Amino acid sequence: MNAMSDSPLLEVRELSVGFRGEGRKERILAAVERVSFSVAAGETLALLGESGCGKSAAALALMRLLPEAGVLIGGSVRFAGEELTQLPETEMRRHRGARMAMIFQEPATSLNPVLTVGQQIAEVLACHSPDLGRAARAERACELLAAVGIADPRRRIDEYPFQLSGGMKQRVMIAIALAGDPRLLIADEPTTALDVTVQAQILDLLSHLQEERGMGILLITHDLGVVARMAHRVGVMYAGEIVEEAPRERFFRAPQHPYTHKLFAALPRLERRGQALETIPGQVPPLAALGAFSGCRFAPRCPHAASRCREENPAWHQAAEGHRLRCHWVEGGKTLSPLTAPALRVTSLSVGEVKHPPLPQPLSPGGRGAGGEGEGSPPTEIPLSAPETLLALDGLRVHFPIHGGLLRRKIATVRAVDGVSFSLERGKTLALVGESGCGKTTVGKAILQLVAPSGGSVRLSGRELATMPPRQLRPLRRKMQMVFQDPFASLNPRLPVGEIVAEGIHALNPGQAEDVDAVLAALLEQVGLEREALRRYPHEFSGGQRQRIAIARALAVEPELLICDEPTSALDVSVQAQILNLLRELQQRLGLAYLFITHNFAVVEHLAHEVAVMYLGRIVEHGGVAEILNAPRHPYTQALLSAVLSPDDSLESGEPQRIRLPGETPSPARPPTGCHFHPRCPKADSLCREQYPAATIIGAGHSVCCHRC
Amino acid sequence: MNFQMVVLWSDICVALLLAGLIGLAVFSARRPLLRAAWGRVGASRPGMAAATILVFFALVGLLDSLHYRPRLENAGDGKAVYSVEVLSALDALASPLRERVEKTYSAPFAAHSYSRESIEIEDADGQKRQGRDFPRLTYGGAHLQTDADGKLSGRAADIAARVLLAFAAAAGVWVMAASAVVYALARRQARTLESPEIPWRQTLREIGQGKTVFAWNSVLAAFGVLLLVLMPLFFLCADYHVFGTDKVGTDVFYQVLKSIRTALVIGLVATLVTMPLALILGLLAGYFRGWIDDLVQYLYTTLNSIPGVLLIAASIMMMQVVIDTHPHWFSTAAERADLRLLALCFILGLTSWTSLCRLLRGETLKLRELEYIQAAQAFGVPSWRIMARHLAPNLMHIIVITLAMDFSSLVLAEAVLSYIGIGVDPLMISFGTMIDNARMELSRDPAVWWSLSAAFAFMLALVLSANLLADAVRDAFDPRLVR
Repeated sequence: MNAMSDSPLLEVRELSVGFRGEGRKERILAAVERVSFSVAAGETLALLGESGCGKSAAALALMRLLPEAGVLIGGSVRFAGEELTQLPETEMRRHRGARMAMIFQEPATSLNPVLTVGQQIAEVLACHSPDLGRAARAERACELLAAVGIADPRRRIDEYPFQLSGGMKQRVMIAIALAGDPRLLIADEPTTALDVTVQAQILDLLSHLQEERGMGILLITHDLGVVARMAHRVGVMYAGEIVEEAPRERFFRAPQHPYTHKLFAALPRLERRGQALETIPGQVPPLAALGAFSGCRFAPRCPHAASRCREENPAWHQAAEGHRLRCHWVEGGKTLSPLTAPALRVTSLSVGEVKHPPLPQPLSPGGRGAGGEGEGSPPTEIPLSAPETLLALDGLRVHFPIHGGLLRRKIATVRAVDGVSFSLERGKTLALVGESGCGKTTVGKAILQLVAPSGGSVRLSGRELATMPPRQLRPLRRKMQMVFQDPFASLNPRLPVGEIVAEGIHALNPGQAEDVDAVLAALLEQVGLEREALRRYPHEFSGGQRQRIAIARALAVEPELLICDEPTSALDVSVQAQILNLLRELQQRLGLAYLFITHNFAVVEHLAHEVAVMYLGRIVEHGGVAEILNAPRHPYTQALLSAVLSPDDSLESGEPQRIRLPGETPSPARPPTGCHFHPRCPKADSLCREQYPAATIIGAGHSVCCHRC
Repeated sequence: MNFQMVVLWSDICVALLLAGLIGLAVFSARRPLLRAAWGRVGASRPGMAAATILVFFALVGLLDSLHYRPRLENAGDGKAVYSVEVLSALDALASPLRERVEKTYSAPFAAHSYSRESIEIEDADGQKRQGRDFPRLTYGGAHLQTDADGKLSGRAADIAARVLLAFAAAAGVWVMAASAVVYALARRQARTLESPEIPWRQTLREIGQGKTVFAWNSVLAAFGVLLLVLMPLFFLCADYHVFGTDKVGTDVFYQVLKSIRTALVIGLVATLVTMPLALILGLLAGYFRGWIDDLVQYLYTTLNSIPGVLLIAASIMMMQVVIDTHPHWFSTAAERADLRLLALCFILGLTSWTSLCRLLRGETLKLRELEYIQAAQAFGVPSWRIMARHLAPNLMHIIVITLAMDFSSLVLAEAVLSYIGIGVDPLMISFGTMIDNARMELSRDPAVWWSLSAAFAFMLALVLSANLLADAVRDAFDPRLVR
């Protein structure tokens, strides 16, 4: 084994993975094609890519855990010098867990709900260290839980997964992965399902464990921020191939491949505010289409593609020490300028404008209130005759009763929304930011009266909605609509797109029904879809296109207020940029007001005029976007902002000062006494434990609920 | 007119079901998603083989659903008088089977009765004497000669000759059907390719290797097997009782054919009662929740806690009392039996909706939280419209799967209920009454086994093919299984 110490821990050469296609012909569709990489002990390699690029298939193939339809087509996987692809299954089982372990994206489904945490750890221990006795195994399980930062492991070890929070479940998953003392950890999107503050904790834990144990980590992610935080080296995957590989510094400072460049440019950032985001036209080619490529797979979406790119797949090109990529354009001596140079932004902007089809006129000119003009003008410059309050919330409360006991009496209340007040002007965007479970989505639904408010008032254009009978409410529904988070759940799979979009027209404007087809076509054009889409069904569209359909459906009734509930969180970065651009353009042209519900500060930076930060059902800080982002006052806002991972971080020298919050958001059924935030707050004192702070006005339109600010 | 059309209530149900099936076919053809799902059913080999068998059963059932009363010949005064006996198209076609009634039990292919009787025997010297022997049957094997010892001669040869002839006929029919399929497919292929040549060989090869989109090879194979079984029966039943006769000498093959309609009506009409109840109550409970949900849940929990057999027995008894006290409602015995059949269907339907309802309620609870439902609510779409447009179509796969599965259990339930005497009218021929009669027959010595076996074999074929088709339908419609 000593002779192996120089060779990398994991060496993958020309790995190809396919999936058996439908039909009788047993066609094998390649999902991963001739991918090579290596991971050394103590090193983190990040595989970065959008959904469907084959990064997870590659990881599963390493563990030989491919689903039934998956086939290992060829290539070699050597772990510490031993070839894995040819091993019999019994031998392979020794490797899994003991030498290489895996953690998955969704902690909620990765743990068996009917076994205690201790049993699940002991199961792995029993496999890989059979000589340990029962007591020794329990002892070891406690040590592991302590190692992943779980307080009071002796108590936790007998708890079931449902008793743990999401972050703790992921910690337990890591503990299970560590139980076999692996030398390589494969982490498949380990923090995607977690809140930002918890994500920061988990990433800290992973890098701490790596230092302690000298593990190699293969990190699979779509998030450039996570890459910047964790990776030593980065491999970018596109459509089943690795297109660029570089050390982190080099990767963030001078990415060379056009795809990588586009990914960076598509990220919404404060300095790109008011500009159209860079987008990558089209989408990742589907699996079935990959076989048809003879040239570079990015060529159809690449701004620099030449005829050679479409015919010949580029070979590896060494750009610098440890930095290689596959691109004819770069190979031919062209280089993309470094990202920080202003030249890039100029090119990207011009490219961005060309790509957008000319926008059609609004549906009914003049019927929309103030219409914006000027494509490039920042949203703040919308000419408004007078700032008019469109939506006003005052002390909105939504409480859900918990029933229990024999007679199903009310035994407790979940205070999902507990006194939220804000107002939104016509044509403006208010971002409602918070972690999962803070009640931000419930606020949106309560405004639309999809859930009945328990108290407080919701006024739209001065009319009170909360107490309005449903019959009177119906005409007002025209004025407010919602775009939902998951484009796969928000369209009825059994209806063609035409009927989906027309639903609002039929329900709310029955008089206008003569020329529905023309209206529908105009709507689709407005969101950048072809007229032909009307007759097709939702499953024929990609996530981004579905979200466009959902936006068209909302726009069909010509609303004044659009509540966007995390409209981009289920989408890839490049598609997210397309949707954000679309929303921005629509606001400029139609004068829409947005209530933008999100957990993503990058999106907030790009779109919002005002920001309200929610914690456990209440707004803790509210102000203009610049004040909140640049000078946050509430400790929670500060921590949230500090936990946001940005690709820029890796460019800064040294570790930026981060505020780490302990613990997780408590349950809204049992909020802490006093200030809800005090158990996690670094500044809390006795007053905070006793009394909820009142809002303090600390500037024009900037208020904060904190005793210590 | 030498007959009078009779439309029984169950005939109307059968007609409605047929119309419903045609409607479903037209509706599915217009919806790409449904068309694709049915296309997957069509591609399933076991499913299509089962469907071929079911088509045979359905044809028999349909023929048996066209009822009439024949005109009596001896009506002297010119006024048409019709028989009190209601016959069906199947009875007319199978009149030799129906009319050739023996005295009592006879075994399959027998020429002699199954039990000894006191008969007059003519001795060789011409003297008659009384003796006990197995008498010759009036019809079964009547064409066979007896040799000097009183033994039958040439029965095996006769049967073998007829079977061979039947196989030849089956082969002929099969080849004709197969050629028609190949011809149609090849023509269509030529039209889509716009080639002047018709690709006979290629089409033939594709069907043989199972490369066609529709599982033609399994349809043809099942059709072949069906012919190989039915043709000999058809050729033999003219002069033999192929499945023997029962206690009163009726041909068992005829009884089996008549039972098919009863089974189909029970299976389908009861399902038809189940579906709207389960769908409407399940949707209401799942969508509105609250007290409506509580009400529906209490309803089906209560219904489920009463033993089903007791409930059915009580209802059937009550129904029987009503029927018995109103003899003037019915002009024929068939109408009376038919009403009891329908009553049984309704009662079975009313007691078996609970499991489907529970499934639909659960699925509705899940679906109503989906965002497209909330989007519809945000448009102020009325609740009934959300249920009809958004929820019901997304529940269809569960309904189709459950109904296909329930069909076979209802057929079996009829058999069980008739066995314990609370099923169909004793006059109505059904698998259940056949099995009920077999109870006594099996305890005889020597046992009469053929009635039970024939009923068992046909019921097995019907239920097995229904189950296989249900499996194919489930695989095609279950969104979790569709890749």
